[in-house]
Amino acid sequence: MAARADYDLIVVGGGHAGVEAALVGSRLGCRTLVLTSRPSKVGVMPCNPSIGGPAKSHLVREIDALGGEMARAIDDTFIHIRRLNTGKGQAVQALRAQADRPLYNERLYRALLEAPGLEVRAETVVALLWEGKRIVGVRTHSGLELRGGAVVLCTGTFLAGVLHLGPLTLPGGRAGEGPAFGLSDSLRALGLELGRLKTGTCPRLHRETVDFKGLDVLPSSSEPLKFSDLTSEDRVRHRPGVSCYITRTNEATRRAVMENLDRSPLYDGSGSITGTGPRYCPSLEDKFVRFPERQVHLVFLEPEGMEAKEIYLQGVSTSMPLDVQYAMVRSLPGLERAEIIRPGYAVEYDYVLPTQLDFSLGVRHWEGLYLAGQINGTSGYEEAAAQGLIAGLNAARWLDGKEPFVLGREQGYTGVLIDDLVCKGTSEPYRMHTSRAEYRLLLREDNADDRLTPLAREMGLISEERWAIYEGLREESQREIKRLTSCHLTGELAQKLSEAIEERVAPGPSLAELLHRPQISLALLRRCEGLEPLPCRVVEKVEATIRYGGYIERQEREVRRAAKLENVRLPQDLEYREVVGLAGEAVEKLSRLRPHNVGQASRIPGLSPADINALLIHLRKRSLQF
Amino acid sequence: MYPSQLDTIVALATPPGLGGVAIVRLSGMEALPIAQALSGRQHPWEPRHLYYSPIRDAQGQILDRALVVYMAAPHSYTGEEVAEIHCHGGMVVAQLVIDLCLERGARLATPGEFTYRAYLAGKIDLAEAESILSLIEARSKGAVYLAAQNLGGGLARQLGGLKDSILEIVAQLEAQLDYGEELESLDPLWLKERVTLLGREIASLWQEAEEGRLVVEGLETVLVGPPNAGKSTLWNKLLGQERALVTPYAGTTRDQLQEYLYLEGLALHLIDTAGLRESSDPVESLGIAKTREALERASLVLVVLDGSQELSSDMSELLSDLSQKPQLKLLVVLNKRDCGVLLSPSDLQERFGLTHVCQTALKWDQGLEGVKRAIVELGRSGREVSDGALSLSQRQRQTLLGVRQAWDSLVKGVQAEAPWDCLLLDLHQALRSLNELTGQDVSNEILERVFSKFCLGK
Repeated sequence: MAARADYDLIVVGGGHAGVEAALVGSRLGCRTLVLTSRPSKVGVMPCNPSIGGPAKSHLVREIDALGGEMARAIDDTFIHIRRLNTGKGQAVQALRAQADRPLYNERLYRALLEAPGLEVRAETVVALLWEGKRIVGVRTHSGLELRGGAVVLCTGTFLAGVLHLGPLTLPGGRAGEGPAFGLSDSLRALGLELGRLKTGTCPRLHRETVDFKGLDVLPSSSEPLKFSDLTSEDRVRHRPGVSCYITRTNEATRRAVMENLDRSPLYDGSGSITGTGPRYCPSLEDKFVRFPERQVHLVFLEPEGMEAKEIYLQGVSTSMPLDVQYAMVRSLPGLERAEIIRPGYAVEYDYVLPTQLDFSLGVRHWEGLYLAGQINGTSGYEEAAAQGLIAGLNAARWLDGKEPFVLGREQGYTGVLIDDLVCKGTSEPYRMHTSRAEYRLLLREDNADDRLTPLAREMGLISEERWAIYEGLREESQREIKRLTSCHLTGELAQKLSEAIEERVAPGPSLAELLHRPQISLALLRRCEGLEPLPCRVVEKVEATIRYGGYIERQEREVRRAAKLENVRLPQDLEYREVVGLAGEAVEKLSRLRPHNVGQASRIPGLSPADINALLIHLRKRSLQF
Repeated sequence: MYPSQLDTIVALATPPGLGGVAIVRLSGMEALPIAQALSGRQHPWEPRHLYYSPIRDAQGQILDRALVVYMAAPHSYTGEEVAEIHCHGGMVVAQLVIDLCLERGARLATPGEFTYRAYLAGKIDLAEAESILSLIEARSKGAVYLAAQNLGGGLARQLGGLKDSILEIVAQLEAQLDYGEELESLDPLWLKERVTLLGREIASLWQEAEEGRLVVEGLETVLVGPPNAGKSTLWNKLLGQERALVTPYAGTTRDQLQEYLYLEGLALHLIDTAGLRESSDPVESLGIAKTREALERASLVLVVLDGSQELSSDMSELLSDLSQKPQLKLLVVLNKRDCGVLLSPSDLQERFGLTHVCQTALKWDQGLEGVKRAIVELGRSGREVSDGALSLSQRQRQTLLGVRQAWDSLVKGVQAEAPWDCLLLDLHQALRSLNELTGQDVSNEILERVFSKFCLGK
């Protein structure tokens, strides 16, 4: 007999994915429970204390546009922020911020505590409960059975986690915290295939033992930069920023690593680490081994908070024994007397091969089970948070009997992320890069709200306040674009501009055409016109729309071409063996991955255009028969 | 990315290598405008009327006087707007015409695409569509085989090199975009220089492809035989001109000669080889190695023997080797009938299971017509292999065209100082064009390159 569910939504894990999943559940009126071994560690940043960077800050903007928490949380707590990639193109411009680690953690914990209908309990989940093909709840280490309408698993590195530090190997999900055993067996019992991944973290140093003199300084920006449109510029304008510093490895560092390779769990030949590590976040051991001709690698010193005593040593991810870590650290200029507060370590954990998910992030063939974050093979707080939001949203929509919310690759990096995971899978921790997005010019930071906020409003994810801000921005930028395209350059204004850029500007063209010249910004133009400056967000939108016009149109044409195939649905019960003309490899892959439409099928590695034609003909035959 | 159903597609509609008329078929919205542009006829076209019209290239030069017909949607094979150009100049002209269509925005049809469109429009039934599809599947396997063979040489290798160079630029830029903080900044001049340099390379590749457009076009035909049996004489007689050096001494033809020959509409890519015998002269043995290579690739082999002498053990071995190859068409020419007959056609036919053996006295022009007839007969039987080669070479040209167009746009972007994210749009487009042949995933390849080249990630 089915017991009444205690909760609508049970979220397992309180990391970046878990927090977004739980909050979106609460926003949509679900009775939501968060289960985490240590509630005080909700939203903690176990690796570097920073958020953003190319493609990652794009994800944060999308989370914000969908009503998520991450952008506002980092805006409230950053102590350092910079704009990256200026001058390389507006589509790849990105923010990166350093959080005050303890404050960020506290900020998210508070958000959970204040969210209506949301409860946090200190429990470690050891098993899933199911009836038939439906997940109905979880069992915890204390023997508690909790029933919920849907379960979202956001286990991070805790799923059968093992920590490595030199010769030491101990079970754990994070330094000082135990792993989650048992849950992997539940997942296998559901018929899911699991893999093993590895990631690493860097040593933390005592601030007062570091000599910052002589190091390169990376100052925080003086502009009022922020991720969320809900954050006012005043809130960030006078934030006292701290600087980051850069030091460099040298021959002594290389020797410290290379002479002790036999003591690294990665290279000691013991094979104690079997999980695959990320190429884009290599350990210092990997860097010296893979690039033997390079001595100099950059190392970033990142303060962990205004008050915090810890400095995060970005770039020195390592699992060497402590004495070797000391030798490595102290070979670096400025760190000759540095003390390590917490050594770097590697962690291995289980993940579920994400090709077993559907595009809602629900597990195929089961009802009521959703996965988000590192359990899906990704890496990074931002990637996790974006998935958490989508998984929580779709779990809540499923409980409501609504269609899942699936984002296309042309709609957001979030869509690219999930499409890549589900169609292609991953064998190393997956990190988002701007080069993964084929419609990169459409997926800019400046238009994340244009792409997603109207959808978020329809689903009830955002407040009236946010909607009003969105509409205000949109109207103001459209008004300005209209003005720029209809006004033409007068002789007087041309004269002023010529003086400003010390280059002749001829009167006649529209003001919009003028903006195509790299030297002429909207701010400069308005200054010469004697007009008030526009808000930053409006300026970004206007400049991108005008300057990228031709390129944007090209990408939109590509999207329309691709849409033809995206719109052809593939029935989930299709017997691919019966499709005439389909190659053997294609039959195997399609039967396993079961894409929802022909567009997704066309992205599966190994399928040829001839396979797709065969598929289209078969579908046509079916539609004629039924 | 899979090609769109909205595109106008073009392909050869008649089997290649056969007959005097080749039909180029266009299907899609642009079919009529393209036919109009090529023929220069702008007035209203009556559907299903044949118009006799010169076909001109972009420079206005007349390529052929062809018959052009327009079929209005939905009354056509595919149910779409269709135009057909019936070329009289045979295969070569047909390919030029297809190239013109590509330049005017049509896309080469993928295997089965006309069929697919016809099926969607309800013009053919499922059984027909499926049988055509399975044929296409078999053929594309043949094409893959040919592509693998082709890797050893020519355009394919150069396209591979080009892709590598483009990937290099893309990796540099992508690394800058995703990991700019950790890298030395990139000198904008470097980019400009690379783009210019590669632009030149692409232009010269295009030129080469244009000039070498016939290389894989005809039926690959190899002349082989012992020294001084009369290969070069046959060559000259077939081509009607003095091309090979003919002397009475054995081992004269050291390098390979190649030419194109059209016999009753059948295109042959004719290769004359060095005499097949072991040699101590390094130059000559090089020629012999080439001969063996040519034999591996050949579709038709003409074995020229001196019929006035006994069959040597070498030649006997060669004949039994060649006659074992199932796809190979084999013609034996017993020359020097005027000097006596020691080898009889019926003997050879029996011993090696041959279908075509001719006797000649080439010196006196005797038996030449018989040889030509036999070539045409053999050449017309079965055509799958040359079909695959044809579509492959054409796809390579389409690839190159795609790269060239992306590069033109890239150069404009560089001149206008467009930001990198925009320039990458063209660079990715060029890579995608290059990958259309193999269907590899571009984004993955780029990341592979970025991470193998740079030590990135904090």
